[in-house]
Amino acid sequence: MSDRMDYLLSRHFARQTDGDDHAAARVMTRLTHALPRQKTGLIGYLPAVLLNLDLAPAWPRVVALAACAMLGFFVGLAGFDGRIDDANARYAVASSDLSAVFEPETLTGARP
Amino acid sequence: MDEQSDEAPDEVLMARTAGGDERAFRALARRHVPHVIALARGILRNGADAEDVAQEAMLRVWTHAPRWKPIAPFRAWLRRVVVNLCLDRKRKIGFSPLEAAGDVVDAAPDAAARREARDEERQLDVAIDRLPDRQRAAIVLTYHEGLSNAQTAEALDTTVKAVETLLVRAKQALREALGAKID
Repeated sequence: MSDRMDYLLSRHFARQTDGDDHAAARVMTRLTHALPRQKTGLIGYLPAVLLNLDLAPAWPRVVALAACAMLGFFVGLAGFDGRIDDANARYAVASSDLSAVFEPETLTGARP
Repeated sequence: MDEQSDEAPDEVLMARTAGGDERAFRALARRHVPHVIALARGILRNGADAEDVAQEAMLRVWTHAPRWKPIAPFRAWLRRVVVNLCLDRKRKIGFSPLEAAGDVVDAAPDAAARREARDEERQLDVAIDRLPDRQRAAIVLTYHEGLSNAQTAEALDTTVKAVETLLVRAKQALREALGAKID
């Protein structure tokens, strides 16, 4: 019984050809009109907006700015008079001196 | 350029469409619109609505092209768009007039047999039209598109089990509608 139904359905849909040429032509004609704007993500949309506003990024200047920022970061970390790779060592010395800072008084035993 | 577009694979045309290439989009539309209309007509059972859905589906292809990722075949994605648009439309409209069934040509030698086959076809056509939307969509995708249950499940955004249930129920309803003819 199911085979007969399968046969009938297959025969029914086999007779339905793809949409006729006139229908397809009508749809194609409608599609020739002005197409709507494409949907792009913000990342894709933003450069176009910036370019429209003459705010296109000047990459050499961006690189120079990034380099200055990086230099400022390292100078801030190490100071003018120290080497960058010495920075950690100096902190290590400071931490080892903590026992001296918090050493109890000899007479009272009180801690600062 | 147009000849190149006509021969290029869907994914290439889609990539060019994403870049705003209208010629690539039109080549894509020329290739798929007839099939989209046939699929939409199978689900909606109405030629005018099918054309509207085909237009809307192709406009979605255009507008969504920049976001489209080729993780699945273009055709499968388009099929899903069309099925969703059809089901949405049926949900909104609720009812659409039944298109007159076309003449059925049967190879049966005698007129009585031809007439009987024609009647059977018409009854089946009406019965398919009366199926719930998702059951009809499952039938159309399986028997018209020739999709497997897994592919139908993907197009309907559901599970294979659910598709099997839809098909069983649809065929049961069609059997009841056709009555003695099917026995």
